[in-house]
Amino acid sequence: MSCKICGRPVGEGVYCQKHGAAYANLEEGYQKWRYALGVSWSEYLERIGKVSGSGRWVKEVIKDILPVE
Amino acid sequence: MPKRVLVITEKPSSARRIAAALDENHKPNRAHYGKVSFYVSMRDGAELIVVSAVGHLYTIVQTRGGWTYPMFDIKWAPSHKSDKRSAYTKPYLNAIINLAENVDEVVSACDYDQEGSLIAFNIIKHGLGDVAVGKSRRMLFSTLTEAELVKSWDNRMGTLDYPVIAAGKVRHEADWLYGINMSRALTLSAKLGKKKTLSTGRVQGPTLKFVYDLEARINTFVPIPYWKVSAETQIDDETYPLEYGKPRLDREVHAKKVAEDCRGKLGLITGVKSEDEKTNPPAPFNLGDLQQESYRIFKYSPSVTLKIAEKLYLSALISYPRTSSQRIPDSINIQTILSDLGKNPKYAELVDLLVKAKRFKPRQGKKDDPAHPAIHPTGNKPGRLKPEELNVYDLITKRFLASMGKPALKARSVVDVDVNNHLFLMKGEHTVDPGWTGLYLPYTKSKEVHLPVLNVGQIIPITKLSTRRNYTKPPSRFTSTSLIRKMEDEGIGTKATRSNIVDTLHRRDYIRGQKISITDLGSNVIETLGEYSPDIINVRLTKTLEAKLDDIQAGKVEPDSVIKNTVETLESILTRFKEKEHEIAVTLGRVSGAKI
Repeated sequence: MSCKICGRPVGEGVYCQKHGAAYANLEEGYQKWRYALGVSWSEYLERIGKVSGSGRWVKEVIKDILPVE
Repeated sequence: MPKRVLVITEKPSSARRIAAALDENHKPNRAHYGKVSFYVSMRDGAELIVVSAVGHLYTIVQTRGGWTYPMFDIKWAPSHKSDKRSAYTKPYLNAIINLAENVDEVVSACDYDQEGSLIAFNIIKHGLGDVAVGKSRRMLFSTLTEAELVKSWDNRMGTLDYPVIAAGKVRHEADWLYGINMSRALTLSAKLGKKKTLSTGRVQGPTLKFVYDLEARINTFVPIPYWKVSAETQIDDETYPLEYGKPRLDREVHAKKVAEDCRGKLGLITGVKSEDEKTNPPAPFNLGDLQQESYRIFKYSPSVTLKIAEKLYLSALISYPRTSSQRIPDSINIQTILSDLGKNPKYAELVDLLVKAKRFKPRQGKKDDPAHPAIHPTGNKPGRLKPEELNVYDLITKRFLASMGKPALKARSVVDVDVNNHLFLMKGEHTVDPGWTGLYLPYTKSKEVHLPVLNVGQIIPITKLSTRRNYTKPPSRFTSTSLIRKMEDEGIGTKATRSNIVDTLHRRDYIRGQKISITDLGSNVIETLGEYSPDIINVRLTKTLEAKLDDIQAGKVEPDSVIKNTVETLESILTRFKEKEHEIAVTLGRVSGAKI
């Protein structure tokens, strides 16, 4: 199976190792954001995508997760 | 007939300086062999023919086959025969071979390190023959000053420095075997043909992996918000900042609560603490420290700094720069150097301070180098230097002087201010005694924040209060300097080769920018090697070899066993590569747009 984002081989799940690591960090980060601001998951993803310093692969995962407007 | 001695130096400029130092009248005769200058000096009734190489005159070549792998059959051959770009070395080799006729002794006066020792050995062994090797001796020196060169001549070794030569030879051969074989394996697997090549090497691979790993941390980074609360007070028409007792607040509601509680309130001083802080002087530079400081202050890249430092060394203004040492041994006459430096108006006042305080012992750092001391000025007065040479010379000299200075003393004060049961801090600092920092100007700056006299129980107004949301930041990218520092910390490469390796990664289009990022091509190479040959990018493999090279130099390990082990390791890696060529081609082509 190939990564939904970049086409690299996938071990487990739907993402390759790089995007899988980015997704894991996103999940971990959400706990801290929820504690800090009380935001929902989708609100969190939208805000993270706009903060400078967010990683390139993180932004690619967000683009994949968020529904197209 | 007087005794005839052939003295081989590493570079033309050192030949002139060594010949002048060794000639009893300091006026050696300059002559030419073809286009190559050489010098004839007279000393102790002997005629010294001082002639230079121009770096390495011999290189490694394969003895059979074509552009394929594995390739383990190698020999040393004249550089000009194997590479047209080395044609300029031919006249130097011819000159040395011809001038060596009928000499009674050959002396290696190349820089004292593995490279220098190997340069002279290859010329003597392959150019002059085994008889010449048998009558060869070695001069050891760390500066090109007259006094040290004469001492080095008088105490020259009875033979060549064989353990150092052996370590240098094995380093070159192992690097060739890893570099050529792995680069060919990558290129041929990617089916690029000979015109476009992919390269890697024993040190290059792990260094690129450092950049790759950092890039992954940056690319997967998720910023986390936090809040800072700050305030201001006014005392006698002066404004002073106050920091909230907790430097970071993790929740927005907490930050808002602090702001609500404190806005418009008065502050009560509940504590005043002051203490002196001592900062010891820095050790004198080794090469890594110099490169780092030179980048911080002048923004010179590590390779530019090394080039400048080598020029200063060849002008006998500083000691040998390719050193790991942060220590100045007792054998170096500090008082003479200070006396000479004091004749330069630029340093007279600083030297005077040290002399009056009788401070002649530099602070010794932790790192040592058996061959050379820390980089220090020789005391010789600079002639006309280019601005960048003058900058580096001044930096080295002031660092050397600062290393002998008194500790710097600062007074730090912290005032506790209670604002409606919230703790704020007012911080001040000022210099009590600049100590060594006064000798290291303008390369050190001191932050000065003077607070007014404040007493416990005093009430102060809170004139401004604000909260600010910040986000945690991803790790900083490497610069050339910090990447070299990482290589040094990890114990890979040598002080002489690290900056070249970083330059090579840039040239190969594996990394880009002053704040270094990895390219798609660089990522692709690391991922391919990580999948099919993880050892080659593992820092452990190259560290193990570095340790073995140290053991060779210490005479503890046989050089042949290290090469044999290198070949065995490579054989297993390359066999796997051959078996997986098709998969590797797919992996290398995985990233679209990669320029392979």
